[in-house]
Amino acid sequence: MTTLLQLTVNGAGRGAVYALLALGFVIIFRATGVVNFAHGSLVLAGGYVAYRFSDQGFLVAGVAGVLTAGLLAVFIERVLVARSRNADPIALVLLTIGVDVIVTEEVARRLSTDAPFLRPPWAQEVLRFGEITVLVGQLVALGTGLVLIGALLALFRFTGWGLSMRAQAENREAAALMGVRNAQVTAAAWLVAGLLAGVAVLFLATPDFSGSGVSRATHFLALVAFPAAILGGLDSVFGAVVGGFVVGLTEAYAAQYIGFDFAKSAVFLVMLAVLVVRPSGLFGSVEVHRV
Amino acid sequence: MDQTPPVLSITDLVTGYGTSTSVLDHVDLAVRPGTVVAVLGSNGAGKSTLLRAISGTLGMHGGAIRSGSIEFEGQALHKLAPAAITRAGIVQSPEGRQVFGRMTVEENLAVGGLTTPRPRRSASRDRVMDLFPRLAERSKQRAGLLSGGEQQMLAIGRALMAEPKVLLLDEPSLGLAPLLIDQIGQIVTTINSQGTPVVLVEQNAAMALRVAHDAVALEVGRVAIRGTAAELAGSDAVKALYLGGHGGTDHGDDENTGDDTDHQRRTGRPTLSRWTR
Repeated sequence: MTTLLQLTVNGAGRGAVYALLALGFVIIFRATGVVNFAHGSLVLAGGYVAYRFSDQGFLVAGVAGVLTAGLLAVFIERVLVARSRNADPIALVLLTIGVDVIVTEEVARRLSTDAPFLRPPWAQEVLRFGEITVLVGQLVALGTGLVLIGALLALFRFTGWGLSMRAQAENREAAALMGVRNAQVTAAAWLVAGLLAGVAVLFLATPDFSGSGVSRATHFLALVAFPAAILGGLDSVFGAVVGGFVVGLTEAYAAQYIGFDFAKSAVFLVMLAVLVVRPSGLFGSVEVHRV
Repeated sequence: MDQTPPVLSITDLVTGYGTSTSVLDHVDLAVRPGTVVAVLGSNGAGKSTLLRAISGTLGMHGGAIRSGSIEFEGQALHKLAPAAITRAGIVQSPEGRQVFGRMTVEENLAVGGLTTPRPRRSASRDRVMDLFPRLAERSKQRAGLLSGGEQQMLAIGRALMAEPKVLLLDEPSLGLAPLLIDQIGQIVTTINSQGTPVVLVEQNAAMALRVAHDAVALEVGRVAIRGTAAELAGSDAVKALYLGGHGGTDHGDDENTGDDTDHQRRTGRPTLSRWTR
């Protein structure tokens, strides 16, 4: 019972981080109609810059990393994706894969064989509640994740940008006819998604989260958020949040009860199972394509 | 017609989709202050293309303005992006309503009001709710769940939220029952009497000519007939073509408000005449 509780807290912490990444996927998909396979490289670029700034203190390093990821996302959208607006969606997906390879390889080249950890002040600290031991890092992740998710949901529901964003996701032309500036809204969406990826890496690349620091392994870890977005429903913000937690908890339980090396497979198995039953994900709209 | 300068003037407009032949072929249209202008024509005549050209959305359909100009208050609209055109005051309620189905009625109206300065939004909203009490009753419902008539009201209401200086309506009667069509006609009159000029694109010529001051009839991308609404309503050619009269060919029966799809428009041919051959 204590194990289960402990797993649940730690899994929820990971889940919150996956939810931030999945939200990024969903926001970009809704704004652009493209699945952004360069998301992992945003994570890695943010992590790399945060690592470079790490002797300035964690706060400065964190802000630098988050901004890097956000600006890189805007750069990808403005310079590459926006110019090929009318391209085939498959071509745009390949474009994001191309960006992903370039950024990831560049970071890997700069780091050579290093896989440096980011070390927030709470790294490797634990809290004990009776028999339960919880990593502080997971609690901070959970708290940060919940605050950001709440803020985003409020942003979507109550602000002009959120309204524009949702209107445009549903019907780009009708939104433009209502004065929504498509280009600005889309760029803002990529910015937000990039910033979230930058926040996520501040947890992903710590010793608490995994055995890998800023490296290709973290890039792979970011890809685990992809099933989170898919199983929640690619066009559902709420689905991304649920999907993130499903993935985090699945990983934690599978690692404990089945085997550590099975955790990632379990995540993708859950995704496949959901897709077989609900092809558009748990909360996705049935017709994702615009008519 | 009197000689007051028009608020919106379209001069010698030529548009096309892709590399096909022109859909609009040297079209001129002037909207005088405070009037309703009806644009009649059957499927494929280029009516929606005209509104897309004005609103700047031709590009979203693979089309473009090839020559000519569209001017509003001294501004060349044909050089602006769709959002800028709306912000300049030319607001369109598009064909097929295109409400945001997953958003509530309230939210749809809020999107319409995004370009309106914040202090004036609630006044806009009150005006829309006065005009369409149904929308007030349904404000928390998803727009996708409304009936066709209610969606049309929402589409018009959403456009009104942007405080249009010229309102463009693309086939507001499409797919509606006769009673509702009359109601839409009255609403157009009310909106106009509150001071907003309206460009009313319609296949339902009877309703359109009842509410309009001026009218043009497009045929295969050209202005075939133009004049005051009364002149057109009295003309034998219009009666024959659009009002279901008995003047020889009977295509363009105004009872038939079938789907006016992109495809049909791009072929540049009226669909209805095809049925009668």
